[in-house]
Amino acid sequence: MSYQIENTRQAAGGTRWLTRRGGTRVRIQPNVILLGFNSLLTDISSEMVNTVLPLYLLFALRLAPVQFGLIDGLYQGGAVLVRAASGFVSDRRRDPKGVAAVGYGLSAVCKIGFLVITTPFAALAGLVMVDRLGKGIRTAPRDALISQSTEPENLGIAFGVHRALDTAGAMIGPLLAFLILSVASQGYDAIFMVSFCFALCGLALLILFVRNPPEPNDEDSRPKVTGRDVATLLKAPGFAGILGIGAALSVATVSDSFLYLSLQEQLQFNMSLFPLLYVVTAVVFMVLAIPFGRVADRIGRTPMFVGGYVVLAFAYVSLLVPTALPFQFVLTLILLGAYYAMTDGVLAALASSLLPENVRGSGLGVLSTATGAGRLVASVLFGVIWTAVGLHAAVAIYLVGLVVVLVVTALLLRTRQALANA
Amino acid sequence: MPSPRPKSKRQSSPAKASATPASKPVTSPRRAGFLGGWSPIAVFGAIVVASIIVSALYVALAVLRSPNRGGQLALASPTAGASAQVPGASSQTAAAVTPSAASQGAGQATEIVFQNVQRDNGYAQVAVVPASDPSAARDITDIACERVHYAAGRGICLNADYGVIANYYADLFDSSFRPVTRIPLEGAPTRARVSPDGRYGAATTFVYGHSYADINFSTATLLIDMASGNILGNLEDFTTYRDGQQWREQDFNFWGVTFSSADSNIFYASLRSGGLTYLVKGDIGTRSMQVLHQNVECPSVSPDGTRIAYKKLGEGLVGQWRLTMLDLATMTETPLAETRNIDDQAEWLDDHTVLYGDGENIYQVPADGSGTPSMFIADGLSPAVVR
Repeated sequence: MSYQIENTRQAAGGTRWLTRRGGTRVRIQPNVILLGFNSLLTDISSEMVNTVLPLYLLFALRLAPVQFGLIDGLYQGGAVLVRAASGFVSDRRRDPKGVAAVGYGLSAVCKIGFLVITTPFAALAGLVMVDRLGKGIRTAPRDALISQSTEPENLGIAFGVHRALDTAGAMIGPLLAFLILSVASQGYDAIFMVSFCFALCGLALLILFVRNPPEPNDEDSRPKVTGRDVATLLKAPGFAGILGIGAALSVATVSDSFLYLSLQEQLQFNMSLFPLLYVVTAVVFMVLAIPFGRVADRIGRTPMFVGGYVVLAFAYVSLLVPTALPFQFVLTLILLGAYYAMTDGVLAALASSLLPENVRGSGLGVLSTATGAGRLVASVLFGVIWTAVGLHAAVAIYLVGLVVVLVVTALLLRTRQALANA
Repeated sequence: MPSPRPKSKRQSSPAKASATPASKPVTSPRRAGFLGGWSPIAVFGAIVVASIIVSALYVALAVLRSPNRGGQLALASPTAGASAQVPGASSQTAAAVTPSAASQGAGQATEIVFQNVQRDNGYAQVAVVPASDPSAARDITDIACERVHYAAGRGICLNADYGVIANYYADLFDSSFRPVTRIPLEGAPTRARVSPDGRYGAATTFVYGHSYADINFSTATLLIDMASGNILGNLEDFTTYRDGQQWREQDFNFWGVTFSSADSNIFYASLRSGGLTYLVKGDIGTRSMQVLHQNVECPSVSPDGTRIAYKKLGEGLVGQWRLTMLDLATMTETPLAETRNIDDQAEWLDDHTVLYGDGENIYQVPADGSGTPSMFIADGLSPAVVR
């Protein structure tokens, strides 16, 4: 089933992307495409700055390392907390587009800020914080918009399309930044300005063309979403389970940088090749995001999501096998990219399908706060374990942890299925 | 932030209809209001065009400003009004002091070579001022460095080309600030030193991690023969002794070399292992080092060879670095009057004063813990005292 003319969402679109799905065609709503290109532009903007920020802060502004560490921490953790809040606000105002626009706008303004503010340290730290705040604000309402613009049975592929475009931006950004630095060795101001321009175009795309989901005619008779509604989120069938599984799996996930460092230790390749690792992983993610989203729509999103972590476990195994062959290098990166394609968009699709429409933003926000916090814990913990027992052993410990969480997850899912069938 | 919420179901402007022809039944945001009747596509197009123009302009300006354009490094041209103080750069100016390998050791400071960080004037390029009048107009050379050091007619400049894959290198330059040899490096530059007699150079780079604050940073320190440009060795390949016993750990990291004025074969450096830092004294002749003291980072030995100025990590989870002086005869430590967190390898102006950068300016402070810090060179970093 792929076409319903009665569906106002479908009738709303002018142009649509058509994607083959089995024998039939899947329609990707213009909103999803627009949000995808908006993310592409925004990711070019933010990744340009992201890649050069360490260089800029340490070598151009000569920040002391302790200060740099603090800013880096803000950068990594700053976005996590506001996600749930922004999701709630977007539900309450029934205006995911407006809330997302505030987030995109904040980050855009910060790019100009980097151009102007070079001192004092507090102002710089504040700027990084606000930039990440913008990222935290926009994520949940944007995902809510994607899900509300899409038929439930096509959620996987819709998120796949969005994540593929998003990742393309994440690859173009660093390349562009390094391109600018290679022709202008101190061209940080140019990078910030170009980054701002991309952010501005992304924001314009959102404000001018993306539309909020249609509201029922009896708009005013519908009660506003309250804190109480959000509290009942956990009662939405299956959502609490996904929240728990998502958070637990995040804690057992080694962050990419650590995996790459481990790969480097194993194979002793030149450190200047480091950026290439991110690119290879991103290419695999980008290529697989749409097909895996489509498969998830057909075979079920939960198996796809859990399967992604099984793939991740194999990536750890591939890291731990002492071969030092180029083959291992490539395999690990492919597994890592596949893991992203099987989990990132799929989780958003999975949660969207479980959440009632009026609290979808809040639910997605809570979910991404939980997984983000889980990842933060995982990174801190991994750093501690690495210091204590070494990099290789730390990966092995995380592998064991991941397998344990996976086994428990599989058992829980089977029990639930058995209960549902009973 | 205008955030149009769908209120009515009526198309409000013909221009908008052309943008989304099939969108009749669903929404009609109040776009006409804030676009003033412009079609969204026209507005978007205008924003994109403006963005492209501004971006191109900024990049073009950055390229024109870039000091290392085309990798060409030319002789410094002294700015109008400033006398040619570039060490050895000029034979036409009688007043120019030309340091040579002969005038080594604990002689009088003649010039200060440093990294200029005036934002609108040769940013990151190496500059020179007379030691007697450091606030005089600076001569800005054409070489740009992230770290620079210079002694006895030879200099070392650590720099990077940030291409798609960053390219790090050390350029050895002569007294005319002309690069002579390029040595590829493996990571981001952090410390550079030339021995007072100009014979040896040392370059420290981060192999991974970007800073000393990163718990898991790893550094590589190379010793370089300044005349030939040959690499004499990585300090990790030297033999280390502690309490008379040979000591070797997987996690050894060395950085911040400083050379003795009396005998440039003798050097000091920081060693980190097991989360602790140590001061080591090394001998290039025997390719060995011995541990002298604990909690010493980025040492700098005094011209008379009796003391080490260094940064000492304070207590606490996020400790601050305090500039400190270590008396090598008694091994007593004296904190210097600078109380701010300083991450730099100090440089001795003479036997009583040290120079250091705080990230923006170069300061001086008495080496015995007395007095107060004072500004030495504004908008400068990485000072090297030429004697």
